[in-house]
Amino acid sequence: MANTQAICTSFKSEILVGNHQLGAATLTSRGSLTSPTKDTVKAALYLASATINAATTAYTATGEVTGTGYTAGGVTVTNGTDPTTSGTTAFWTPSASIVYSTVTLSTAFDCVLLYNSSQSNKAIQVLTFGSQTITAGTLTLTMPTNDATNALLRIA
Amino acid sequence: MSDPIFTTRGFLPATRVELRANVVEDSADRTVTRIDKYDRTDGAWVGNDLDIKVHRLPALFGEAGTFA
Repeated sequence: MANTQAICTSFKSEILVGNHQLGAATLTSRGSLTSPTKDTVKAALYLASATINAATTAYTATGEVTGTGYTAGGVTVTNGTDPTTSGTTAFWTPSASIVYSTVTLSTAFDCVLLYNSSQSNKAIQVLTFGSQTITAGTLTLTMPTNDATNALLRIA
Repeated sequence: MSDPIFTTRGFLPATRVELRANVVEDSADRTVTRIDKYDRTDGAWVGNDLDIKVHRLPALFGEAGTFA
């Protein structure tokens, strides 16, 4: 099996029904009528042997990495910049690098799943890279420039 | 002064750790750099860091349909 980079198909339909609020909350019909909150995005790592792809609908512990310093479910993504638009493209990027500190992950991994932990762990996006291991170290995913051309999540 | 560096021998002073960076993947989508760490006192390998720079991923395209 293998992981495949993609925007999750379920996410495409979920944004049409307002399941995801990655920016300043505007939906007042959900959670709280007076103070709706922005959703929390998390990032989980998966083994190279896992099957995470466009068909993934939610975070799963199956195939997730295990190791010293890594907590199941991954880390919370820093989301300080709301989605915005430029021209005809809407886009969003985490506002800081995604960092897994002081970890040892001895079994090869090659995938990060971004998911909405505020909304039943619904899947958002799959990022892949060449198979890696890490020993007593820090894994840093540096985000692209947050613009209409390079942002991590773009709807053009 | 640099922060201590985490290794298989715990946190070591930055001056004691030699970092050797190698780009192991470089594509339009991403650049992956593996940084191996060595203890200068005996040359032992004491772990590695990974730095993945995401450049640009495919976009989701919205398309307006037409009336039949």
